[in-house]
Amino acid sequence: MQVPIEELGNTITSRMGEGYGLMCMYATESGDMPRTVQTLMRKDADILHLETVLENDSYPSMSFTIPQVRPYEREMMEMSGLDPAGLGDRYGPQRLQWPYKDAHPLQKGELPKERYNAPIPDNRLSGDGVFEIPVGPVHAGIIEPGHFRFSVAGEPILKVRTHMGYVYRGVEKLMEGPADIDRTRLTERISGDTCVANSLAYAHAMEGDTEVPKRARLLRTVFAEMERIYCHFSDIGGIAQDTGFSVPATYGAGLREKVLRVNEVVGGHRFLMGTIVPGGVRRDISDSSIKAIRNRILKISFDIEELMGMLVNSSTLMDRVETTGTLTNKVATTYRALGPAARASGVATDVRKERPYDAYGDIGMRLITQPKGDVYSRMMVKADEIVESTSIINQCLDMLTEGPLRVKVEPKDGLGIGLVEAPRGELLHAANIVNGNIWRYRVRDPSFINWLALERALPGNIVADFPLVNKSFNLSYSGNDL
Amino acid sequence: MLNFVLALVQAAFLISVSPLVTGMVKKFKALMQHRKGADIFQPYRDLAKLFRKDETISESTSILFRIIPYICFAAMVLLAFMVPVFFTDILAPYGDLITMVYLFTLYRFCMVLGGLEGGSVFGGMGSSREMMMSVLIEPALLLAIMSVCVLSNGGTSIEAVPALLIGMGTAAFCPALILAAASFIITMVAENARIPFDNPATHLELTMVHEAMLLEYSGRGLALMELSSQMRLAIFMTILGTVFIPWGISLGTEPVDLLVGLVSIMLKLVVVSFFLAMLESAISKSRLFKTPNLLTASFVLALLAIISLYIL
Repeated sequence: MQVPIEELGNTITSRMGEGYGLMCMYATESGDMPRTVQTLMRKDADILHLETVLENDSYPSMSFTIPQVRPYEREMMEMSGLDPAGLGDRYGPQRLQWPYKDAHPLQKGELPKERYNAPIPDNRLSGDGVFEIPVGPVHAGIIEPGHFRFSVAGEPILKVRTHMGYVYRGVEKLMEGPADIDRTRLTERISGDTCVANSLAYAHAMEGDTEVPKRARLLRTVFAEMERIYCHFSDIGGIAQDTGFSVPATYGAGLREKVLRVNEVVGGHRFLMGTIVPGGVRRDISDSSIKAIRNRILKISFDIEELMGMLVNSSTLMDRVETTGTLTNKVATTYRALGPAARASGVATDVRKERPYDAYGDIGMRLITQPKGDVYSRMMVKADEIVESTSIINQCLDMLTEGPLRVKVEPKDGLGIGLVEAPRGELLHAANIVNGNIWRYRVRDPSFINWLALERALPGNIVADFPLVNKSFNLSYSGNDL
Repeated sequence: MLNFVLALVQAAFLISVSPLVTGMVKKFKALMQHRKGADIFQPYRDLAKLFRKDETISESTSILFRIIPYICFAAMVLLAFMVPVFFTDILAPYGDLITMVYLFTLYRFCMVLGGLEGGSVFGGMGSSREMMMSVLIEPALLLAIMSVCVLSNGGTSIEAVPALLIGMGTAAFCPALILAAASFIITMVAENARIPFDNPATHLELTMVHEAMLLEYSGRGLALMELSSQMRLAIFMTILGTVFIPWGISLGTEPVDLLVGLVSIMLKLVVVSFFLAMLESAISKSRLFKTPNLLTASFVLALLAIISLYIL
């Protein structure tokens, strides 16, 4: 649907009133297609595509009336060189710490060599006894780089700003080019522990309405759920680790490792790289692999009970996690938080349920929510999702029949959308294909939105609890930076 | 003369086993997590490595930053001279329990200054948290040791306590001793920055207390600070093992008694290390603002110990 730029804000607002959520906004370069702003909204399975042709690069900012637009406007400003008048430097960079002079990363043709170090905007609060703590981008542990600015009054946090962009690799630019080249090797590496979800979203974006064979769809679902299981184990173990509760932390890490080892047997790779391709799956799994999965799944349902027993029965841990880092339902809805973080705040959102893909339409699954939105709720949502995933895998393995694994895919011109539920939430890949070439490829990782939710969940907590809250969200830095 | 040599030997023993005690606690913790864990002698290797390395010192620091590791180390060496280990005669009998408590305080005070000296945010945060806790640790520690001294009628000299307690026979097992020991154990856990007060194994700068103050140190400075904190743990465990539970310690210079004293203190160190590792594995770190509650409990226990001496 074509919408002029003057109408865009009103259209988004009125559609939101009808129950649509803003999935993504991004800009395309002019050339094969006109310079546009693409807006994608979704209400359950119904995806609304708004296209706005731009006459020039400047338009009045919409962030002040629609808070959900803010990160996207900032992204369009940094990556595509648009100028949302009035937005300014207020919120700090979404991605780039090293912008180009008079150029932007996604522009067609050669990019200038010269870049400059963008200063981090001064967003600090001032007042008696209020000071600012800069943390990162180099941290003491082996984690991804991100810079955080805390405005604190003693221990309590008043305000946090996250500054990302230290692992920017230009993924979206690298995705451009002939659409029939298989790029799964790149998409798998967008974010370390989201290999399956990213390659699956890419595959869906390329497939369009191509019918994927049933066996392939079932296997894809199995792989996606295996990924969810090990991610969630790692998160729960991580929460225990960050409270200094060493025994369950090691236990959680051990359970994750066991799933990874099954992955290696089943898919030939611990993180299941190289399993999914557009049109199906790359290789079949043997009967012995199926048996290995079933054995592990059976054990997981006992293991998770034991792990959660250790955690929930510990009064000291419960004291740490309850009421810490509360993301209220209102904030989660306003910013359209995604994935387990949103479900822990009582927002029933799950792409697997709302817009089933692959085998999710044929199986039964519960949508797990928790009402409170604190660290405890996020931990419990993840624990219950592990159980749910084991049930999904079992159902898929039961339905598994012999059949072809892969069909040939010919990407069609137009907008290809891949929408999957990654372990961290709704993951969107959108490809604008013109004349058989990918003209613009947009990856919207759930972390892109949830970083803002994290900023809103922190005020009121003390600085010493930040690592715990951060761990309970467990957001991707590289998925955000691309 | 023999007493002097023996006292020197026991101080040297205490200093030299202190990295081993830390190594033991780490090993026990690893075993409880079903990990193999590092060798119990690993802390010695780490120290040797650090002593060989160059120091990098922040430009914002003054001379204080350089001398603090030496002050801290000296305070701990002096404390090692003042504690009976396997033999009741000590090298530095001129000190009493008040000197002891304030040598611990001197150490903490210098460490806090060192944390502030580096000029980094984390050091300052660690220092302010440490001060918050130390306000409560200090009186509890003083009261706990004092109640044992009062119980044994030993005045304020720590080296007289073991002999007097043993001399009391079963009368020593009174509520006061148990309460004081309980209070001392809580203080030991807090003072040595163990879970639930602080996490010695954490990599999260924002949650650190003790480690945050050491972040700016490197090379020899770090080695001295690490060694001092390992000695502090060993000294606390030894006080628990010889002042609160003195049975086994040698009262004279008979070779057999000395041997029994040596074996018993080694056993006590292993048992206390095991207990500490178990405590650290069984609970998680508590909320920062809830640590004062636990320290207050420790203070109240020590207070009850003293009161019970007069009313029971």
